[in-house]
Amino acid sequence: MKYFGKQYRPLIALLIMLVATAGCASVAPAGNSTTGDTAEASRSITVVQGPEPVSLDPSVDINKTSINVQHTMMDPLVYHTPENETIPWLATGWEPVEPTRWRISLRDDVLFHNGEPFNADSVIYSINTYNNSAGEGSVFFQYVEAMEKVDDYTVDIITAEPNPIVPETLAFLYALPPEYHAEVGSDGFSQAPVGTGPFTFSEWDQGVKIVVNANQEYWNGAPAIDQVVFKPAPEASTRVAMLETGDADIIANVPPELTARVDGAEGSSVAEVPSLRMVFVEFNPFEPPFDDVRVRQAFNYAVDKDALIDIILDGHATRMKGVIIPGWLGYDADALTDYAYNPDKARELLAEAGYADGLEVDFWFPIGRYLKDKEVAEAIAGQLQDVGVTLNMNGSDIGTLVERIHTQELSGMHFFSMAPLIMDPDYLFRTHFYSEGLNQYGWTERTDADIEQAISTVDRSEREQIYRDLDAYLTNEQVPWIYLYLQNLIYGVNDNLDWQPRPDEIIDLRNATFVE
Amino acid sequence: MLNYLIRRLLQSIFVLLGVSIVVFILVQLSGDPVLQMLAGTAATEEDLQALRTELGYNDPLIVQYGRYLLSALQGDLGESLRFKRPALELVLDRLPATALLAVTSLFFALIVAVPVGILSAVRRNTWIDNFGMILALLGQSIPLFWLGIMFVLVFSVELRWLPPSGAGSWRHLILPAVTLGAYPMARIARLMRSSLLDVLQEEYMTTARAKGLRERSVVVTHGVRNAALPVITIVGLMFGTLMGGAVITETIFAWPGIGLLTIQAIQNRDFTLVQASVLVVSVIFIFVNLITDITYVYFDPRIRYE
Repeated sequence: MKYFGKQYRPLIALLIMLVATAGCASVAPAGNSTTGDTAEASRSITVVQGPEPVSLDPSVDINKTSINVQHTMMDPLVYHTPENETIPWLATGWEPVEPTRWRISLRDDVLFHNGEPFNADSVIYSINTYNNSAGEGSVFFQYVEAMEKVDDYTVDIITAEPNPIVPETLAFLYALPPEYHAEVGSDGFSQAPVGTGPFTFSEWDQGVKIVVNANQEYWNGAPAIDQVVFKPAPEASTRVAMLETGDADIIANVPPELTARVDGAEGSSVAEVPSLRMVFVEFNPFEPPFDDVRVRQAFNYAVDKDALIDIILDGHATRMKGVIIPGWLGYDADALTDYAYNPDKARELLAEAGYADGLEVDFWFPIGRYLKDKEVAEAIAGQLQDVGVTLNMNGSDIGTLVERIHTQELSGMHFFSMAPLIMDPDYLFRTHFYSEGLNQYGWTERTDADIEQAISTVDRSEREQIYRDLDAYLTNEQVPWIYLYLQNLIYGVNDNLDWQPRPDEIIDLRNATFVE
Repeated sequence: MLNYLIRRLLQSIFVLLGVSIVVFILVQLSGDPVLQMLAGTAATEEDLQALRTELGYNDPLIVQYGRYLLSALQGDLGESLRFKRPALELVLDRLPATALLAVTSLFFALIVAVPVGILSAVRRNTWIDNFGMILALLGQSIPLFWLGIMFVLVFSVELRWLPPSGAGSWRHLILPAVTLGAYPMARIARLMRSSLLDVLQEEYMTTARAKGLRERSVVVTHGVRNAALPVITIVGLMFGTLMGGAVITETIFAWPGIGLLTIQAIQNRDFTLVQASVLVVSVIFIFVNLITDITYVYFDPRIRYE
């Protein structure tokens, strides 16, 4: 230290500190990219979601935020319309030639972005990849027993049991290019995905952005948007700020309290649609007091669902009836009891059941998982108080709650939700009304039998009838839940963009256009 | 000196071991990871068992910890449950961004706090002092997340000077760095002020003045130099605060560092990744503390540990 005068010592100490804190590298953040913000190309848009995808390989990561990115570059075999119809996409048609054999015919004019042809081989490769995936994509096609290539553009899917929902699951099968995917592996594919979709991969700057460019050669016509940039921003108010400053054109998950800011900002508006996430209170019907159906009915009449939606959720939810989501196979609103708010009737039913002097019930609910869950739970407690019910309030984080629910013997009732993975009633009933699931509170012998019968019935209208009757049986006779609402999905959208949100949370940019 | 160094190193190793146990147990306490990963899916009890066996959750805790520690020593912090990539690699990928943010915040804190602290001490009980200390009070008491959101509203939404989030240019760095630097700035300013006030009372200051030196050079060469020592210590210790604050700051500004990664890992119930990032941050913290102690000894000849 001879070379430095004493007066520099503290300064040197500080410098050493700084270098030490900087650790290995102090120059640039993980992804320091060249292009700055979005608005350079006028036909470019930025989509901001909360988290970042884990993987861009659709056989690995099936979170909605990830699918939204994959969906721009890849095409599914079958396309789900927002109305939940399945229409031809990469597959031109499908039919059960035998109860356990579905014949899928494919488009013969589609190329992957790297020039590989899309054909029967790529479908077989894709399904095998999904089935062997270490990730969540492996859930969809385990029912496939074997596949047979009939010709270049026709493939047979053979199932062990008759399976009517093969077309619905094909909406989750994104076609993968066999040569390229096999060559680079799943990790390599995630870093530079190749599909048949309307956009091609450009870059993924980890933690910062993913960029895709329009595929001018897209078999279904080039998209109106030239470039899409996906950015993560976990904090909701930051997403809104990005929309306000023009740093974002579509933002996902706007909390209700920020909708006014989005609508109030110049050039942006709220876009809202009922989601597929149904929120309900589930009873434990195997022990008192809920072993008596009159008590379950009484609780349904005692809760004012419209008030919950209007006052607590500020209108950002949609009342639900029954288990089947509106528009889905077997949904029939007229066949279902409405359980409109009627506290007198609730008191009557409780008195009949022997609880004229009131009763005490355990209530388990999550905090911070669903839209205003704690507030809704507290309001429900207040409303039930009016008919003489005292709730023992047990709030917890969702992990703890789920663990308690999965013991299969949680007392009283619990606040829970369900969002279907596969767009078919089978999924809805199976997760909550089947004795071999993890949530075994709502099942009866009849639900088990009906679920099994429906899944082995290939004829669509027969299945529809089974589900319609099952939903009516549950809602009118069994009353397993207090039926609450479907949470709404709330987006903020730049007014220059014509884009519609979908109930299944997929941000589909295929038909999005600019307002001229 | 060498003895001291060895002792401090050994201590650090024990602290690290302690951290690894705490992290391991905390993750155990947060519930059955397999159940949480598959919550709400149509998985059956057999699926759960299969996954538990595959991930080694069926072994006794001590065996699990031993396995964890053994591979950790070889630089293997396990594979992220979600990313299916080595957890350490994921964390190290994000380390430079967090380091850049932390260092910039510290730099900002120092260039504001040191002059403010000095001026407040020298001009004690004047409006300058009051102004400086109000600034420090605000910096210390305003919650980080609120400050960050306010900065976005004012400088991005209203004034349109700076981007509200993201990374890629120096403009993206300013708001998160100032947000994260506010608290250290306040602490350093207050410390600088009180430390300098103490020093100004010292007899050698009187001596310096008696020698006929100008007040300016008395304060700068004799005063500040001596008052800076506690500041150096606090800057080192501040690093832990910065790492904690980085989680919030990175979340608000979508800054692609370890904090953002950790938050995502917690939301995804990716326990190996949470373990890895906590461990890496702890290693850095312990290392920086060690360096602080050593430099302190080195630069203050009055301190000798034997």
